[in-house]
Amino acid sequence: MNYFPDEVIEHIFDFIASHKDRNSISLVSKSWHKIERCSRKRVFIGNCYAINPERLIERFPSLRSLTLKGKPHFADFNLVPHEWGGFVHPWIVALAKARVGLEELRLKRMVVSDESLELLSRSFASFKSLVLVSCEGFTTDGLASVAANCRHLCELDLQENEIEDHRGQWLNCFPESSTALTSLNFSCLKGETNLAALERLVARSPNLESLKVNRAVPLDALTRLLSCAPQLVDLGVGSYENEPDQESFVKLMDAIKKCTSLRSLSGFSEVAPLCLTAFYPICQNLTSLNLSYAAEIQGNHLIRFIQFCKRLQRLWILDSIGDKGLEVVASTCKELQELRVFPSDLHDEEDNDTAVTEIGLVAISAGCPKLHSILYFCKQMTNAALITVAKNCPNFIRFRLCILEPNKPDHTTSQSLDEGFGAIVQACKGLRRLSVSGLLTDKVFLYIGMYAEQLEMLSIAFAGDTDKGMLYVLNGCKKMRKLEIRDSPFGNAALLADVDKYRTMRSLWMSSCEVTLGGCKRLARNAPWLNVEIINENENNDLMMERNEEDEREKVDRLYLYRTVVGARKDAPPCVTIL
Amino acid sequence: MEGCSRNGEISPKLLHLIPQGRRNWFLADKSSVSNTEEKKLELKLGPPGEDEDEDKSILSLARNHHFSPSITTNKPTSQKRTAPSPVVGWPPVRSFRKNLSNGSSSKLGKDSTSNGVVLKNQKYDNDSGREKTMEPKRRGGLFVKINMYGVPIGRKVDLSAHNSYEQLSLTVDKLFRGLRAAQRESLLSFGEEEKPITGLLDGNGEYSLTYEDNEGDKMLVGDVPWQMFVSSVKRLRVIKTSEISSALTYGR
Repeated sequence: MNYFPDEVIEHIFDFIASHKDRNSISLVSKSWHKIERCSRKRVFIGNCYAINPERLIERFPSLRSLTLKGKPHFADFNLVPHEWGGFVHPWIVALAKARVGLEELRLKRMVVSDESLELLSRSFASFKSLVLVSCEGFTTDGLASVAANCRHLCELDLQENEIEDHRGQWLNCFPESSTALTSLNFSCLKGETNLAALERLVARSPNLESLKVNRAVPLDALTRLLSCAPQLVDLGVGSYENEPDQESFVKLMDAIKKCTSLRSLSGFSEVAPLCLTAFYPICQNLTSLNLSYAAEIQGNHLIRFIQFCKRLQRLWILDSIGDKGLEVVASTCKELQELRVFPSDLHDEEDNDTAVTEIGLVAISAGCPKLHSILYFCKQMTNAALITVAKNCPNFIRFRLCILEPNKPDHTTSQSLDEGFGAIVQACKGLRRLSVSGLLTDKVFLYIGMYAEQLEMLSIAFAGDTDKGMLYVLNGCKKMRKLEIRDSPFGNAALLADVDKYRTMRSLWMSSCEVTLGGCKRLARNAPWLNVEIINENENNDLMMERNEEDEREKVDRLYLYRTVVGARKDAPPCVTIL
Repeated sequence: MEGCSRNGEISPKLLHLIPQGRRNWFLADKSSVSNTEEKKLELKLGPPGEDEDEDKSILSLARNHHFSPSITTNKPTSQKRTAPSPVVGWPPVRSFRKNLSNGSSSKLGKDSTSNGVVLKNQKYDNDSGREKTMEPKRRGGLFVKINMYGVPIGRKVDLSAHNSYEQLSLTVDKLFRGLRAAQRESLLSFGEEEKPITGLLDGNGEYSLTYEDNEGDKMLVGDVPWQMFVSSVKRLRVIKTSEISSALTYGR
């Protein structure tokens, strides 16, 4: 390869897109490292505190697309204080200062401010795509500046963010000359939407493929939108509490009939079943269906709809579909690759005979040969069922099972679910992500350590007996990147056994476990390349430091550690102590 | 404090509806009820009267003849970290999903203990100027869910927009009249005969309006002063008048 000019090598590298592969290339030789880094356009940073923006820009001067993740995963479940961190602002400031030609920014679990969005919109002339997932800290004013100033904006995708809705006219801020939109998702906005502005925007966006509106877009507006965008591939529907009258219904159905490219459907919060019915004309084309917000649609209506969706590859649904419904899915959706079943009745108000059990899971595993990803919330499980699932589906890449009641055993044998999960990890040789639940002893972790060779992410809650459990995992799973544990009896012995292991991992989360302040301090001393964060909302920094000597044995409420090349971060709030 | 004012006694209305034999049993075990009351005070981290897990324990006393103060029915002998009381961040479901079965976002703020998850620290909810899903006392009406016998679709009623039981009764008629007619025929037919729903409050109609209060007790609507009703009602149900006694004791 030394005989090829750099440009040729660079051209070859252009075909290599995956981050892992590009990282590998850069390790081959100095010259490859240089060529790779100078030509790299897309960078993925799984933990925004592992590196700082200045070093990023230094290494990758041609950066066009940046993906950043902030808060740890358990922040989704309110285990991380809001002010913990994950601010995108310093990144945008640095990128703007260095005049990086940024075109695409994707953020997950980060804090974004209106100021950041304004700066973003003014600093990058070629900016095309903004994707924000589970972010917070901004308002519709920030969106307005993005709409107004990013003249080449193609994609604005807001997924499940906390956005303060000022009910302003942000949709009006897209200039009349803006016709390049391909994707617009504002489903998470809670306020009113300027329908006229939205309709004009959609009408002048001939390339619009993905449109997901919020709950404030009523049926007749949807009909008009679909009429001027029949080319849509991906549609997110608003919410329609009121029954449509016959005329509106017919008009909607006619508009939908023309959307022959529609492949993906979502939204439907608070929707009367009749509105779902309007989509019958195109349901056999659907490859992706997300009805997981449609709490008002009863199981039988869901089933009636799904039984026509023979091409579904991805289905997100509520457990109100029931085992019977899953059996229908199993016999209908032979192309199914990903299934998520969310709990609908968290109050346990209804005597819910229709929620899903192990029966539904087994049915799906038997009926859907291409299934590789599952997230399943249920009230009960058995080892026998899991063993059967493992036999039926050895191709799982992601297997996440959440039995709603912590520590619940196999309901037929009262035993732990060690054997069931053991069967899963043994059969699914490609398993990369696993979440376990129910009554589990150290044994399940022995199995995981022994068999889950490709496992990268493991979520543990209310499981295990002794430190051995955690040790089995740390010693056995060579590819582990993210380990998150809550309410399990793992302590200092497990935490400290192999400090170098954390060099190979992105992060470790432990909350309500047995690790003590002393143990964490020791870890921090032995591993200066780790940030060891103690999160304790009831105290602040000073108090923690004062209690130094006496309370080394004090249990740590929440521990979050991650490897980093830039040392302790400076933006930690008082409730976070970095040891 | 409304919820605890009863001191373990049952309101006359409910008592009247419980058949004779069961009534005595219920009264005789007052001590266990007050134990549950104490537990209510001990375990609760959220505001009183909003913890639905404890509600369920009272319901199960009435229903099942045995005391199960915790919601876990399957308890293995060696408990490491059981969760008889609500657990923070469990089940692992995102905020966006948690409030679905409660209905619209205007009800989001009311139940910071929804789903049995009590937030350990409300501190971060109180940052000024931020709209959070868990923030208590949001602007907007007092929405309660209402279901009707035979109609799979539930609705929500804004009680703050009503001043009297009469008004409420009219709203219920408006909400469900069409739905009920639609249910009787096939899904795709419209405008079938729609009979108005009347007599909800006086026992004369085919249907009656009942509600579930903040302690999980089920009662007929209309017996207490309107404001008292509004402050304690959690949920409404329209049931067949013929089913009143069984509905109110057996829970559905």
